[in-house]
Amino acid sequence: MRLLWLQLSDFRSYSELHFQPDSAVNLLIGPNGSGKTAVLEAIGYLGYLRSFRGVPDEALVSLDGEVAILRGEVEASAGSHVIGISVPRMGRRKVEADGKRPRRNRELRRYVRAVTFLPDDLNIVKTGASVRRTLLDDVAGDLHPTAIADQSEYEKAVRQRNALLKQEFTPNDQELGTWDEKVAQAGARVHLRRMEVIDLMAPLLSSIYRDLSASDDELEWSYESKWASGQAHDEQTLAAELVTALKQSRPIDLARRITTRGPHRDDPSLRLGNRDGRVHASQGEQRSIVLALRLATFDLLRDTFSEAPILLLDDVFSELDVSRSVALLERLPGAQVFITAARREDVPVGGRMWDVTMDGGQSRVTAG
Amino acid sequence: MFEPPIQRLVDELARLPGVGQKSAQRLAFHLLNIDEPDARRLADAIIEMRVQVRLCQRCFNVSASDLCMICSDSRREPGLVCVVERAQDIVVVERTQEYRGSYHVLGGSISPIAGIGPEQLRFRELMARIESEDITEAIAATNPTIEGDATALYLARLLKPLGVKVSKLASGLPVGGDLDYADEITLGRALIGRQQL
Ligand SMILES: [Zn+2]
Repeated sequence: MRLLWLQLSDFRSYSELHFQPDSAVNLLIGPNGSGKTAVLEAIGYLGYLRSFRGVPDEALVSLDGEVAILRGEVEASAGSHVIGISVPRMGRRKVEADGKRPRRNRELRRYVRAVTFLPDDLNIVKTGASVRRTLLDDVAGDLHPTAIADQSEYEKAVRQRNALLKQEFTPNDQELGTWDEKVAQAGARVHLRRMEVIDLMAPLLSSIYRDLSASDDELEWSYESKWASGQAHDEQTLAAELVTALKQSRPIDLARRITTRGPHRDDPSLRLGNRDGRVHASQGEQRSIVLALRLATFDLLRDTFSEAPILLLDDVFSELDVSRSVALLERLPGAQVFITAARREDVPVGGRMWDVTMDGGQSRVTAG
Repeated sequence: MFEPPIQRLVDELARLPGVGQKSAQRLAFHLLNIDEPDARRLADAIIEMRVQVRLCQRCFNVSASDLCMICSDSRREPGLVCVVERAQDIVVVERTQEYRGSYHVLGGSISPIAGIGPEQLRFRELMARIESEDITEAIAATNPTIEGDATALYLARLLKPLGVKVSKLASGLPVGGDLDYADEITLGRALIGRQQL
C-alpha cells in the first residue's frame, strides 16, 4: 500500500499542507512540537477514522480553524482510492471515498491499512488491559471489517444494559434478560475474532521475539476471561456461556450498576516463557515484546493481504538500541515507511528527507 | 425576511423533517404560483388528514375509522400477527405482497438509554390480543438495529411461554438501517426466510 499524496487544511498546526511522499522510506525530521507526528496521525486517520494519540476529534482542528480537512490517495494492488474527511469542531464528521459517502465507514479499512509504532508503546505491556484489548480488536478489524461492526454492536449493547442497570427502579427480569442475550450474541463474535488474531499471531510472535532477543524464551498471548471456559469455539456455545455468566453476576451488576462480565472486562496479557511480561520482564525485554508485537502485526497483515501495510514509526529509534533498530529495519523492504525523528542522525536508515518546521504557529513540510 | 405571509409559510415548511430553509423557500415560491383552488385542495388535504386519521383500535396503525383497512379486511389470515415499530413500516411490509396476516404497531423500540422500556411500548395491548384473538404465530419485523433486535428478543421471551411461535425477519437486511430503506425484494426474501426466535 502506498500513500500517493496527502492534503491537510486546518489540521493540527497545519493551516495548509500538500505532501507528495516517496513510495519507499520517508524521513520527517524536525524539532519537537514542529508537527511531524501530526502527519503520521493524519495518515492513520484516513483508514482508522480516529487519532492514534487517542484524542477526541475536536482536538484535530487547528486553533483558529472551524473544520479540519484531510484528503489523501492510497494505491493498493486492488486499485487506488481517494479519501476525503472533514472534521468540524462541532457537529458531524463527513467521510467520502472516491467522491461518494461509503456505504459503511468501516470500508475505509480495506483502502488504508497501517501499522503504527509509538514512543509510548511500552504501555501495551505495562498498563491495564484495555490497551491490549483495543490492539487485538484493531487487528481483527484489519483482517475482517465486519469485526468492527461486531465491536460497535457489542459496545452499544453493553451501554444499553448499563443504562438499564442505572435506572431508578429495579429493571424487570425479562428486559434485563433480553439485554443479556444481546450482549452475549455480539460478545461471542468479538471473542471469536480475538481468539483468531491470537492464533494467527502466535507463530509470528514467538519467532520474531526469538530473533530480537537472541533467547529461547517463548513470547505468547494468554487470554484471561472470567466468563469464557476456553473450551467453547463456536458462536452459540460462547454466547450461552456469556449469558450464564451475566445471569450469575446479575446481583453484583445490579448493586454496582455496571456490566462486570464480558469481553470488555477480559485481560489479554503477554507472557514470556511462563512469566507475565508486565510484572516479570526487564525494561529491555519489554521493549522487545512490544517491537515483536508490532512486527508480528505487520507480518500478519502483509501475509494475509499479500501487500505490506503502511508503516508509521513515530520517534521510535531514539528508544531502541542498535540491535533492535537493525531488526526493525530488516523488515522495511517492500513497505512504504514514514519515520519521524528530531535529528537525522537518530535514524539509522536512508530515505527521502523532509524538513518539518514551525513558523508563527504554522507547520511546514519541505523537501530536505 | 420575506413579506409576512410568505415568511410565515416558509417558517412552517422549514419545521417539517428533512426540509431546510432553502427548500422551504423554494416550496413557498412554488405554491405562490399555483391557482387558488389548487392551494385550497392542498390545505384541505392536510387538515382532513389531521382531523380524520386516528389510531386503529386493534393494531394501532393509522386509520380513518375505528379499525384500519387491514383490520377490516376479512380475507386476512387470523392467528398471525406481524409486529412493527412504527405505522410506516406496515406499508413497507405490505408492498412485498408476501404477508397476509394482521399487524401490531409497538410505537418504537426498547432503548434504556432513551428511557424507553417495554412499559412505554404497546406490549400490554399485544398481550391482550394474543389471548382474545387466539394468535398462534408472531413475526418480529423490527428495524435491523441493536434496539430493534432487542425488541424482537423481548417479544420472543414474552410470547414463547404462551405457546406462540415467534420468528424474526431473516438477515439480508442491512444492519444499522431502517426498515424503510430496505427494498421490496430484500424484505420479501427476509419475510420468507424468517427465523424462529
Ligand atoms: Zn388495524
